Amino acid sequence: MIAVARQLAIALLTFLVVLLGWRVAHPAAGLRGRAPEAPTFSIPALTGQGRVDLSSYAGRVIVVNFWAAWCGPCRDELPLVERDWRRWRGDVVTFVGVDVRDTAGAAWRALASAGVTYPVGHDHSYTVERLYSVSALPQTFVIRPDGRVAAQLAGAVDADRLDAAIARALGER
Amino acid sequence: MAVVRNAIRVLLGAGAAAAAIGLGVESRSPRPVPLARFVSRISPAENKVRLTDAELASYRRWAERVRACMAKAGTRVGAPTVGSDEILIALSPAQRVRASKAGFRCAAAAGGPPEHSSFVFEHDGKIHVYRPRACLLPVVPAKS
Repeated sequence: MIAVARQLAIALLTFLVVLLGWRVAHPAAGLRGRAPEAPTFSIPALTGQGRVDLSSYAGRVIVVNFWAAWCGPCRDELPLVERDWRRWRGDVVTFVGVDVRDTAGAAWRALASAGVTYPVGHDHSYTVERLYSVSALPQTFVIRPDGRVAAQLAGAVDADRLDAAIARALGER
Repeated sequence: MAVVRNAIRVLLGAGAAAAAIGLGVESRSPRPVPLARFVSRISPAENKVRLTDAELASYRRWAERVRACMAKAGTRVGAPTVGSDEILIALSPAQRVRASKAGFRCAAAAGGPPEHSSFVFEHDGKIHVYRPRACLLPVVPAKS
């Protein structure tokens, strides 16, 4: 009886040690199944015609960048986001800008000055800002092809962090 | 012989763990985390970019110009002081409303805050001049 208990204890201990080791080596894996769903939205487009509708990009990695023309760090970040969009657009990646608490005219001028070519919508009613719990600008979300949020980057992004988040989200296809 | 038996037990345990990981048993959860809990926030204390001595000196010179302009308009404020990655101008409690109006006017007259910086009246009764990582948004109450 004691021998059986000892055998079980050794096997159980090994089981726990292996699981613990795996969790330490893959800290983000625990979030995989529990990652939050990215709320969909449809807002008037600032660049071009029509609307920016998140659901139309389903199945792709989507980078959603919240910004405003009156926010200095956002204006500084726009050229970097545009560069990254040009870098990734050959993959299954879409960039979307969401302009908040802004006048459409000021936003349009900032986009033109930064040479932004990805779709940007105007969240005039704070709806999308609230859906994503945005409390500071700029703020960037990377959404996996399954519609779940892979990463949230608060404040101005650096290219390395954004690229790593996109690559991770692409790897989860 | 005992060593072989122990090795078999260890292998059994490791095999079961690998199977559990492979099946995703321990990472699966029926309910996703609400987005609001997933989102990290920047506190005002975390929002200041580290400044060099040269940048602090430049911010201070600009704050001195704002202070001189305010004094000319009849609003006396404290001398700009160097804080942690920011310049501070203390306002007297009796003059806060008047000082804030004069402050904005004088900040514009001084050519606007230095590039990439913010000029903010905070609850501590001081004007803060710093370079923000992000623009913090006032909370908008949800519609009921």
